Amino acid sequence: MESLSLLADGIWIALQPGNLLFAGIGVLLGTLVGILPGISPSLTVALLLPVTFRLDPTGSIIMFAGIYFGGMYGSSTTAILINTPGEAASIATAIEGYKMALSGRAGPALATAAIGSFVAGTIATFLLALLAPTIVDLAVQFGPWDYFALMVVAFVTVSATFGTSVLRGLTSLALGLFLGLVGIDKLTGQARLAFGVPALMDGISITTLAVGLFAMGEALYVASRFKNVTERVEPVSGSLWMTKADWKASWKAWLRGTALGFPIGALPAGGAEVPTLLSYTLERRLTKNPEQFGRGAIEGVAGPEAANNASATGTLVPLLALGLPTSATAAMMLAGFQQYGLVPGPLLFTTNPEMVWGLIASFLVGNLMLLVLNLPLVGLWVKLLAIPQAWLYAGILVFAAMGTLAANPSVVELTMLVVFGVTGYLMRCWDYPVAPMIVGLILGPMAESQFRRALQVSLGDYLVFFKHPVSATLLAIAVIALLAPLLFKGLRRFRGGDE
Amino acid sequence: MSLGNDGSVPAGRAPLVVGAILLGLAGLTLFDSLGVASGMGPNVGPSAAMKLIALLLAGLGVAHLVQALRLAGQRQAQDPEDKVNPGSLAWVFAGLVLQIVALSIGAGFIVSSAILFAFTACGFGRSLRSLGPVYGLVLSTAVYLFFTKALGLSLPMGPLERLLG
Repeated sequence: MESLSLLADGIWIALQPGNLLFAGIGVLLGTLVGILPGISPSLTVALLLPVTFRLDPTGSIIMFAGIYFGGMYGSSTTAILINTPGEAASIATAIEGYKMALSGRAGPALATAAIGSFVAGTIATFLLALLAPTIVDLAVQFGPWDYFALMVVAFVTVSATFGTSVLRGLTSLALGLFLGLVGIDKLTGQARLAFGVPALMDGISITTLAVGLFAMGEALYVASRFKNVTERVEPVSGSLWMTKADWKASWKAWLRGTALGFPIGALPAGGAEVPTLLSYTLERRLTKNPEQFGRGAIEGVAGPEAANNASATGTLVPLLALGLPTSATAAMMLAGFQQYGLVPGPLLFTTNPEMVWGLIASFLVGNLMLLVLNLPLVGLWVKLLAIPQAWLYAGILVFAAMGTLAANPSVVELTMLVVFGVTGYLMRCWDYPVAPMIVGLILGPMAESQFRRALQVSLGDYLVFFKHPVSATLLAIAVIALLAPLLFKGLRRFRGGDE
Repeated sequence: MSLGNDGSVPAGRAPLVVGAILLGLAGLTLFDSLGVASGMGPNVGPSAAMKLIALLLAGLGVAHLVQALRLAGQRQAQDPEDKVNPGSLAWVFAGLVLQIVALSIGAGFIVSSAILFAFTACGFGRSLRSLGPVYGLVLSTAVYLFFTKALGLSLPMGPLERLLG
């Protein structure tokens, strides 16, 4: 078990006092920002990216992991207490969690979410540690055609297969690919779509796009729906602890949620939305007390929360092993790597093993910290929910502008941020998914360079993509994944969970 | 927003706008690709991807227009919960624009961010005569000091920032 000994080394790195401190700060900051209503974990990571600008790479990546898990936990807290899921993946949690909070069982709901996340995160991290090196071994033999085909699969699954509309998903992806063109072509040094503007020569920054789409888009959207009514925060009353019956109902749901979440997250399918809703539907079918569902069933919180966390860890398999981000948050993690000039992928496992394994191990540490720090601090977090919307969104916008200016102090960059904000607002109004756009921005240029490399190797033979078994199979999968939702409208049934 | 008497909006409007934007971007990409050299011999040049994406954008644009045509004349009921509040939206947007203007005339990070803060708060029902501007100044000064002094990042300087050293 080579990977387990590597993981042990990683745990040693993650337990260094300095790194432990980074993980702790990350978890606290992540929860602090993630708990604010309307802020998703990926936005949490994007907003907090500047905080890690000046740290050493290992420490900052570890802090990142903490921010990510903290952000996810914060998001579920908001979903449970004020029925405002910060992201699609928390919708399932909000259904039963908010009902539990209404009936005075907010404590157990938060506890099962936290413990479930811990259980799922821990199991998923071990699976990640076992799976990633295997994929790396495979990936070393991959040619550029295989990488290209893999990215095509990611494009299709992220934008078409799991969205509400193939057309809207593909549109979002195409906008991302378009933005990916902007800047200097790496192979020939020619400028594309830069129109002589120096700030555009370097290309569009992932962080600027993500913060614009998420933070500004969200702030504009909330402002446009502003009605001057204050949201009700359910007070956390009663015991925080779960009863024996709660434990009994929860533990199987945690394991089932993990089993659903990890594989779906690890596939280049993106998003934790699907496994969480699947988990919710599954728990509803399997429960012995169906009358409780809709009135605050603890399984309905335990399962989706575990699925959410497991799938988030699962998305790190393609990110770390192949350098392939398949969700908005994975894209933000990639941006974090890139600020140190590090490229995740098979190479990183050989060039920076201590960092990769330190990061994987810090997921274990981060999850444990989440449990230890957050449950006792629930009362404090709840107070944050009472911040009036006016100060909250004003503050978010100031932070968004600050992050962009700190990365690139130019008025052009800030203007781009606002343009992306307006884009994000319109996409939100018209129900276009934003994640494919971010994935398109990152993967577009990568896919292009693999494509060109493949054609250089094959001396211009376009059939090269079909002559190799791996790339041919992957491309076939991509075609099926693109057509499947059109053919089987029945797939939609899985998404509702409302029957 | 041109709302009907029953609070409905034309169903074909969104796909029409999106389709037009996509076609515009497709045209822009295609136009720009003309100035970029194509590859030589077996190599695919930098303009190939541009043409491919222009094609993708154009295809999606046409699909949107077809959808708009199909929905033309129909009206889509709008959830009253989802009603747009143009005043709030305008305040926040004005804040964003004013921040850019303030920065480009050299007002510095603190003042321009305080303007953004106050205008956004105003959009959320806290008028400019409330504590909004004060909170904005306090927050942006704190953010400026923390990120420049403690973390060593650089943020745009103005008269106020130079005073703080």
